[in-house]
Amino acid sequence: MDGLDAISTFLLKHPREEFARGDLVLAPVIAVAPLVLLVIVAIALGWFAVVRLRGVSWPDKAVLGGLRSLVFLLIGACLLRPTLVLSRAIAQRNVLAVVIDDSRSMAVGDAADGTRLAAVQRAFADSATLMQQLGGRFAVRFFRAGADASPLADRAGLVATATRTDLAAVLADTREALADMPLAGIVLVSDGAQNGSGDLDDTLLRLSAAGVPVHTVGVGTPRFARDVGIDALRLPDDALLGGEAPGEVVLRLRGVGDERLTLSVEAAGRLVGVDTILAPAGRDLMVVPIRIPSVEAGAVPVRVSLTPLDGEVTTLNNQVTGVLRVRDGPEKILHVEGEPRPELPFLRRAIAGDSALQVVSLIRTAPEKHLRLGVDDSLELALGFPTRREELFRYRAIVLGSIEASYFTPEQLRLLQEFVSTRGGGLLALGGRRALAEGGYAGTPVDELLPIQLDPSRSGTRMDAVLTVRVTPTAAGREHPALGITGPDVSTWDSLPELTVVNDPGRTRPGATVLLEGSGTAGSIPLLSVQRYGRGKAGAFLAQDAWRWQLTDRLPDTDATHAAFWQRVMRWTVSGVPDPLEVDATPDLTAPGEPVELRVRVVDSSYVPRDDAQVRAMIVPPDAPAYPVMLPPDLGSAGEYVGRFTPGSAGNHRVELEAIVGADTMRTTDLVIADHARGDPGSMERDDRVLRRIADATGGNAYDIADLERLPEDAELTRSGVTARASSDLWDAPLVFLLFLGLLGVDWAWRRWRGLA
Amino acid sequence: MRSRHPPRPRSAAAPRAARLVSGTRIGWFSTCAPTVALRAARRLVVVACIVAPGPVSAQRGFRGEGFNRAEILLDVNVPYDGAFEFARIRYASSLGMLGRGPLWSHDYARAEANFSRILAEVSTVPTRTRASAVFGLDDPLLFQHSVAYIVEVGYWVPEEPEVRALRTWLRRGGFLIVDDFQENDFVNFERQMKRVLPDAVLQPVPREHPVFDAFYRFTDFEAVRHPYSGYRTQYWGVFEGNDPTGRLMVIANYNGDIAEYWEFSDRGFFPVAESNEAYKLGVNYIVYGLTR
Repeated sequence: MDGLDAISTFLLKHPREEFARGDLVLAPVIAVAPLVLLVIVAIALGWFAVVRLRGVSWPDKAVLGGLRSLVFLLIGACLLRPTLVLSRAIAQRNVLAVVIDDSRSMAVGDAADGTRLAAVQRAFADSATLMQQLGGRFAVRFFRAGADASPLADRAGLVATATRTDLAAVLADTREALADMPLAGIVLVSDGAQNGSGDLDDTLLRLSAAGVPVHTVGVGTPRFARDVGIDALRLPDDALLGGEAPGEVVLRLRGVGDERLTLSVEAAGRLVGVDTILAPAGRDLMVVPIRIPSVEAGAVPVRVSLTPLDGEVTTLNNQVTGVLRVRDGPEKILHVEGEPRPELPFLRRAIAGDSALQVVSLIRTAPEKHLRLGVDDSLELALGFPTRREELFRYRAIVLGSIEASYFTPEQLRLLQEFVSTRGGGLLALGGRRALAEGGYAGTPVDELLPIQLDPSRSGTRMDAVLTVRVTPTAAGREHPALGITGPDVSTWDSLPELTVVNDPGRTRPGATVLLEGSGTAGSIPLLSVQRYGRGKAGAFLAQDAWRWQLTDRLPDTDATHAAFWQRVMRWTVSGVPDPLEVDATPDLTAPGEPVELRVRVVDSSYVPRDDAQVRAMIVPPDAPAYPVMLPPDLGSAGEYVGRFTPGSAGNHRVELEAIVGADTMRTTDLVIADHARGDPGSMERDDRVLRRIADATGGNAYDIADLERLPEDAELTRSGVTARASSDLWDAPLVFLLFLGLLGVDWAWRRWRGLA
Repeated sequence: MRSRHPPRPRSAAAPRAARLVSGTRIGWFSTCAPTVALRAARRLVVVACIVAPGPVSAQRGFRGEGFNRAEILLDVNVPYDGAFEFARIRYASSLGMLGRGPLWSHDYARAEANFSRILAEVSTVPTRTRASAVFGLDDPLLFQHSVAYIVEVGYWVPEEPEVRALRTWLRRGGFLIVDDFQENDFVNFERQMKRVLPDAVLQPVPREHPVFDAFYRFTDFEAVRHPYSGYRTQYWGVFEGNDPTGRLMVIANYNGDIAEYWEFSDRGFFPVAESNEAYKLGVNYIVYGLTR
């Protein structure tokens, strides 16, 4: 009990915690109205008596009248009979859940005399005073916390190996496990570091509504003295075989000053990159871009590790693993051109070197006459540009070349917009005489999705002069995956030939990102800009002749900049474009025994969500027979199906998904890796904000592992479980008596001082 | 060998030299089609046939003279704007034909003028119909064009810088159309191509190759013959990596001269059907070069 609580108990008979948890009610001895009237009359009579005094100045009358009025008010307050009503758990009739974090971060040795887990085991040992006090009040049930909560028979069973901490799932599971018992409260013992995907706000709201307080016990250090750790590994949704997937590593720096760190990247067990980074002094976080070669198709584990620093608190957070999904393609891209021009063959040749991409070209060589290149069969695009959703949506990206908007019907223009917004495809508009504003796209559905605003007055016009521009990447462009062209055969941007533009550059839309700028005599224009639109993305490349980067004598014969540029750009346009059957395993990297949620999205060939599908997953463990998991529809989300499974052993668990929609059957596969040694430890520092938030939202208290003295008493004050409500009058509190004495004493002293006795 | 040369109109009153009109525009009096006899004679009477190749300023055009007095006005080497323009390779040669101008200029400029108009009329290729390009292989202008045209390669002996430039241009995506050569001209052409692309092999282009179906479905291979010798034109090519399924880098009309048909297509010297087939081939070549 601290000093304030002692004073509170002395003056008001109860500690502050009880006032915070109890209900303050009034139980007046008589009805309120007569009582108020009585007080008013008493105050009036008091004033009347004071006013009638002779030889007393008006200031003295005011002081004496005021003091006596306060006395009457105090008497009136006592007659209102304020009462503190406390709901208190009845001893041995309730359950108290003690949930102990068993994640890897609990193995950090920053607690007094050892690891965090050791500190917890000491504090909650059967012989500890705390446990004796809790045991005297509650039936204590222990749970192990990781990705979920599981009953814990013996605290010695805690081993700090869980790769995931999902506090939302843990709290929800704990409450569910004790749903048929009188649960007085939950004690959550954790460092607050969590990397789960559960909705913590939702869980806290449910606990608060049920009146179940969650007391948190924080372990560990809120800020390490010296440490480097990987907070997060960010990988793209997918990658294409043969390329480089861009990723990011978020480093947490503590007590590091201008030191060199070595970052290693492994993919599929092979070392694919080593980078030396200078960690600047004074920075807490640092984002390091990485590139992962897509060396094989499928789900590829990617492991990033930092070499340990001398004297750092822990090395457990020096490595992180993620899963990169590599598609083997070929990804189909529809390129529409209104006229034969060099840009077309050079782009096709550039892409031809990338086996993961397939460009299907539809070229209008004469009015009503088309040339089709790269088609799969004689029927593909036989009638020209698609007029039906399912026909257009089979492509993953569309390139609009020099072709005017009037070539398309209004319905086809709307389909182009839906291709990006609904289907989630990529669209790239190229510059050309018949393209963009000059092609009459202003005001069309395509205009809306482009990253540049088109000028409607430019429709059908031509630029007065061709703009010749030198191309340079912007700061955003240098980091963007669409432009990460590097390699021995790739030239620097400033050595590339100038390009020309025959379109009005317009204005970049808010939210668009300019990746390339073109600098000419008239200033700079946004040469390549991109933006998200709906589920997809769109870009505009204003140059009409990137082929001049290939057909040039200013670069070595072996230079491959042109091909690398188009392959990068096209890979970006098709990256992250969804399939009709998509599965998201959360997490895709876990430990044996931790549950994995499978969320499947099913759409038909028109990309309309289907709720009438039969979705089944076959889980193929590495060392056991395959078993099915049925995925019922998630009623809250159209076209989504959810199921769970728990890997029972370490290794790769292949997930073979099958969705039957009418007469169509769609299939896809995914991979979940279960391994004790892998996982995302996230931040290993104690996160007091999370712990305080949990306690505050549920009416619990936040404690430190070193100061749990009040926990047993505080845990008793609960509205949940089997409780007894006890009323405690406050009119007889010492504070009231002291106030009386004080007021009367001041009255007496005032009269003595003023000679009015 | 009997000449199939059409009768040549002559007019002594007509000017015999190119006339500068303004700036880059020149008035050009197209060369006339030579007879086979003249072709043979030019090898024998070398001195009489020498026409100085220069001074050929790319910006000012060039001078030449011929028998045909019809005036064709074409801008030459106008600033690049991305549109397709017919690009003719100029080269120095010690040989020439009396009254026909330099070898590289045969059929200039009526051929490209007529062909460009036809191309713009029948296709969507954004074509410059009032301008064409003429440049040497060592001229940077070469790299502003992805399709180029060269004639009379029987007498073509490029300088080493020209060889290097053409090698780079072809390897990096250029498409060369070779026309107007026959008989033993092939030997020199093959020799020079060996200099340009030492590993390349000149090989016949199959009739089913996409170049013959790029715009028109060209099937009547018998219809296009050399306008004067009557030889059936053969189509030879250089493929990337010598792979006939790969990119066609060079197409050569051996024993053919399709530009001759283009040049006189509005004069009635040749049957319309043959001129049509020549145009079809030309359009196919250009569309192929701009799409594959």
